[in-house]
Parts: sequence; structure tokens; C-alpha cells
Amino acid sequence: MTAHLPRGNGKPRVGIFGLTGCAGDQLQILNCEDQLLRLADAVAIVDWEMTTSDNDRNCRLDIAFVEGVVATVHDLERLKKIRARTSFLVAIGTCAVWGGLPAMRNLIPRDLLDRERDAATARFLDTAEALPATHFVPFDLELPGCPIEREEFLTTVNSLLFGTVPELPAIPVCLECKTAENGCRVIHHQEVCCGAMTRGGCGARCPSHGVACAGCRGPVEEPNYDANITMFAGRGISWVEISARMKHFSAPAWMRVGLEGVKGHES
Amino acid sequence: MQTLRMKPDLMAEFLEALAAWGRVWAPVEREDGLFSLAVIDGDVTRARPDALRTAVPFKKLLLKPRFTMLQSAAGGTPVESADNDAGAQVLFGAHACDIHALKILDLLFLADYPDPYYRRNRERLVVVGYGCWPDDRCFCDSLNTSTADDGFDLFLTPIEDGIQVVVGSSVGDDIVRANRHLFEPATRRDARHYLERLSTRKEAFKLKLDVTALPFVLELKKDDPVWDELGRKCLCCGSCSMVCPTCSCFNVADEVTADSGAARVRTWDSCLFRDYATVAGGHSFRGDRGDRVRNRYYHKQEAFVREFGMPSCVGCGRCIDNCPTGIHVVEVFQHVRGTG
Ligand code: SF4
Ligand code: SF4
Ligand code: SF4
Ligand code: SF4
Repeated sequence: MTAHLPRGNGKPRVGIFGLTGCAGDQLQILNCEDQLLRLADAVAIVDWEMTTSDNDRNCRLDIAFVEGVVATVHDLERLKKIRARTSFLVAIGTCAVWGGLPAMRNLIPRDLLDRERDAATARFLDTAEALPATHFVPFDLELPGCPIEREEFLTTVNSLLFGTVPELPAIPVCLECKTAENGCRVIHHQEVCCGAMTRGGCGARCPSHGVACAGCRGPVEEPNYDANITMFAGRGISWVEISARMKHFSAPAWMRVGLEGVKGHES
Repeated sequence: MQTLRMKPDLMAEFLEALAAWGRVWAPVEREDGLFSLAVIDGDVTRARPDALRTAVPFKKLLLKPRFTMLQSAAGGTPVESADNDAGAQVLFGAHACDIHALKILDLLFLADYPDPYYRRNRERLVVVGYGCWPDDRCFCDSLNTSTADDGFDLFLTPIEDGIQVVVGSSVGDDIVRANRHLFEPATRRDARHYLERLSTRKEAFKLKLDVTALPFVLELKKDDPVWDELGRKCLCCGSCSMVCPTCSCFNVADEVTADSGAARVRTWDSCLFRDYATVAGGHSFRGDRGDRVRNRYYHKQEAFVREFGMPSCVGCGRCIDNCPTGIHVVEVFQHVRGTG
């Protein structure tokens, strides 16, 4: 695949946006310190609310990065506008790609949330079910991660500047975990590890630090949820524990994927 | 071939002497009961030749899980990378099954189209074997890989009050000649002890795989429901391929680096991954999990036999140790045959 960036006289114009989320992915971009200066030289970052209030909010964008879920009517309006003015749209972070942590809340009935809300102090929010940005408009590339990997972000920008789209790892975390020679959290520690269901690219960071994979990079192409659940239960782990661990990033937005009998993505 | 003996308390000195032939890799205990091949230069007491299996086998010494083949700086011309060139290495503690696995990798990587990356490391690899004792996951005896007559430079076997040392190559002979003080001539008593060990060891194999006509049985059972069953159970995590000493599939990809350079990168891969058989346009030749699981077993016991006249499973038991969901290679074949 190639990325056709309209290259006029100037540098490619870039926008970076956050919908509802923790801004962690945008922080990761800011954390690219050394490379950031070089980047700022290669592209023109014209719209990035997090870093400046002097933004061009209407110009056409060659590349835009969008973080977060759509959780308000306002989010959706913004997202649609960003899509309309952007040539190459990149979702950054698991919230934008899969729903991430905010989507966990979707399991709680909305009328219950309304009742729990402290009516006296909370002002009215135009909230909706939290769904990934990718659910609403087409994206050209999706960078998973909670937060995104800095390397992967830089590689992506550099690739796009060269006119190519990077091939992101599709292998599960287990591959990176095995080659790092970690003791398996499932086999040796009887824990709920989401490594086999989760896309690698993080270098199996959590299992390499003795912590089970939480699934933060979202699912592999064809996660076998049933087999994982059966396996955990077969090892004597309680249903409560299994569901609690898998729910973190196995949010409803992607829980539909990979359940036996349901093939392919929901878009 | 020459047979010598070594006093057990000279092991540390022997390991130190090996350093003259390259960086010495040996099994070390990584976590409780978990072993990994690591460089022991500087502290040879870490070596644990008694370790039965390291999760990741010696293949990582020849081809790293991920290495750069070509690289270029931003805007520059690509140049060969030495990322995978390990220089001279000594593999200490190779078991008979590992040595057979090494021969299989040699067939794959050196026979028809020599792989320069593999070859450079292979030519400088010294192999020192070590006699092991099977557990309930070893079934090398069923695959004729429980002993090795060649394919090593030295082979050490613990015997009563000593270590038998078999010299298997001219490099092995060089090591012996340079360290004469460590070795003594083997005695008749040693030979007797060794043969006794051999026969009690043979009795110690509890796990057995019946390979009689296995390729034909597999041919007949291509559409057996067992593959769908396994497809439902398998997580397609690829752990079994990563730890298998003869799994050798890899992927090659061109990457733009974080500093705007470029790299051609080669990584371990597995036929269990959906991506593995996906071609341009998005079609996957083995889109079904059951197909992918079947492919792994067919490659070991059917396709490889057709191509090279022997299976590519050496019965090391690593995939049994490392499958999170308990898929057991021997049980799979028993099940397919209808005997388990
Ligand atoms: S610890 Fe988790 S990621 Fe690592 S091999 Fe086990 S299941 Fe896979
Ligand atoms: S298939 Fe399993 S038992 Fe056979 S060589 Fe590979 S890891 Fe060892
Ligand atoms: S079993 Fe699969 S991963 Fe292993 S060598 Fe064969 S095709 Fe490759
Ligand atoms: S280790 Fe087990 S679950 Fe993982 S791919 Fe191999 S057979 Fe499937």
C-alpha cells in the first residue's frame, strides 16, 4: 500500500486530535523528544490543541492523528469534520482503534449511570455509549497500544513521508514473550494472560516484567476467546477473575470479534 | 572417534578452557526450574548441564529471533548488516535431540540454497554435547534421536565417578590436545558403566510415539474432524513453533526506522499465525485455525518425511512444555491414529 500525500510546495500539513480519552497517546508523541524536533522540521503541525492555542482549525490536512473514543455528540461532530478535511487519517491508541478502557463502561446500563449521577453538581453531558473512533468514519491506518509505542509512531510518520504505509506487526504477544524467554504467566503462574489474544509490537513488555499481558494493544486478527476462557477456567481460575482481566481491553467494541461463529470485523 | 574420561571436579576448568573457542553458551536457571541458554563467560558456575530443556533452543545462536539484514541511514544506500553475525560460539550442553535438530536445520539452510546468515554462524559453532536423562515429555527414543553418533565436536556423558568424553571432530580433538591435563584415557570400567547407563536410560522413556507409516496415516486423515477439534482448542499463539528446535520459518520485511533510515528485518515466524499464509490482496491460504494446526503436524511428520526421508520432530518435548492450553504432540498423533 502506498500513501498518496498531496505534496505541494510546502511541508505536509499535520493535525493531532484527542476525542474522549486520557491524552496518553498525544503525550507519547510529545515524549519523542529528540525525534520531535526533526519531525517538526519535516512536517508542519498546524492543528494540535494540546501544544498551542494558535491552530488552523479549517485548513486541509495531509495527515491527521486521532486519539480517543467517541463518547459525546460533540466528539462525533469533531471526528467527522477531521475526516472531511484529512487525506490520510490515522487512529492512535487502543481507545480510538478498539474502544479501550472507556468502552468497559458500556456494560453498565445507561439508565443506571443517569440515576447514579449526582444531579445537583453534574451539569448535563451529551454522553453516548463509548465507541472507538474507527467505528464511525473510515481510517487509513490504525496504531494500537495503550499508549502507542513511540517507535511505531515515528516509524509511521517517517514511512508516510516516504510515501509508504508501514506494515504493523500482526503477531500475538506470545511470540515476543517466548523469544524473550519469559516464564509463561499462564503455565507457570496460573494467571489470566491475554498474550495469545493480543497483538504484539510491545516487545511483550508486561510479561517481561513479570506481569500478565492485559491486552492493551487490542486483539489479533482472529483471537480465540472461547479457547482462552476454557483454558483459564480449566486451570482453576474463577470466572470473576477471568472476566475482570479480559474486560479491561476486551471491551464490548471488540468482544464481538473472534467469538466462534462470528467471522471478521464489525465495522 | 576417540573416547576419554574427565574427573567431574574439573568441569569448571573445562568450561573456562572452552572460552578459547568462542563465547560459551550454556543452560542457566532463569527462574525457578526454567532454563535458558546464556553466555556464561566470566562465571562458569552458572552452567547447568543437568538442565533437561531450555525453553528456546540453540537455534537462537544461529538465527536471532529478529535481526537486520540490510540497513541504510536516512537517504543513504543500503549496506549489509552484521547484526546476526555472532562470531565464534560454543554451544555447551546440547542433548542428542538438539544435535539431530541441528542436522535438520543444516539440511534446511545449507543443502539447496545456502542461507548466508545461517552459514556464517554455523561455520563458527562448536558443539559440546551432554548426556541427559528423559522425563515424561521426552520421546526422542521413538524418533531415533535419543543418541548421536556424530554432529558434535565433543560429547560429555556423566558416568559413575567420571565424565565420559567422546571426541567427534578435529575441533574436538584440538580442544582435547590443548587441555591434556583435564583428560585421562577411558577405562574398561567406564565403558561398562556407559553401556549400563545406555540401557537403563532406554528403559526410562515413558512417552512413546508410534511412527509406523505415520505419513500414510496422516495422508488418510487429512479431513479428520480431529483437526477442527484442535483448531477450536489452539490459541494460535505460536509458542510451539518458537520453542521447537526445528521450526525455522521466518518473515522478511522492509521497515522505515524511527530515525528515518531503512532496514530489512528478518524475524521468526510461525504457520500458526493467520498472517503467515496471507498473500497480496488479503487472501489467506490457511484462514482456518484447524488448517493451521494441521499444517504444523503435517510439516513435522508428513511433508518433511516426503522431502527428506525423516520426520522433522526430534521428540524434545518443548512444545508439550510450552503450550498454554495443553495440546500434546504425542496425544495428537495417537488421537489421529485412533489409538488414544
Ligand atoms: S506469559 Fe502471556 S504472552 Fe507470554 S507466552 Fe504466556 S500467555 Fe503468551
Ligand atoms: S515438534 Fe515439539 S517435540 Fe517435536 S521437535 Fe518440535 S518442539 Fe520438540
Ligand atoms: S511447523 Fe510451521 S512454523 Fe514450524 S517449520 Fe513447519 S511450517 Fe514452519
Ligand atoms: S503452543 Fe499450543 S495453543 Fe499455542 S499455537 Fe502451539 S498448539 Fe496452539
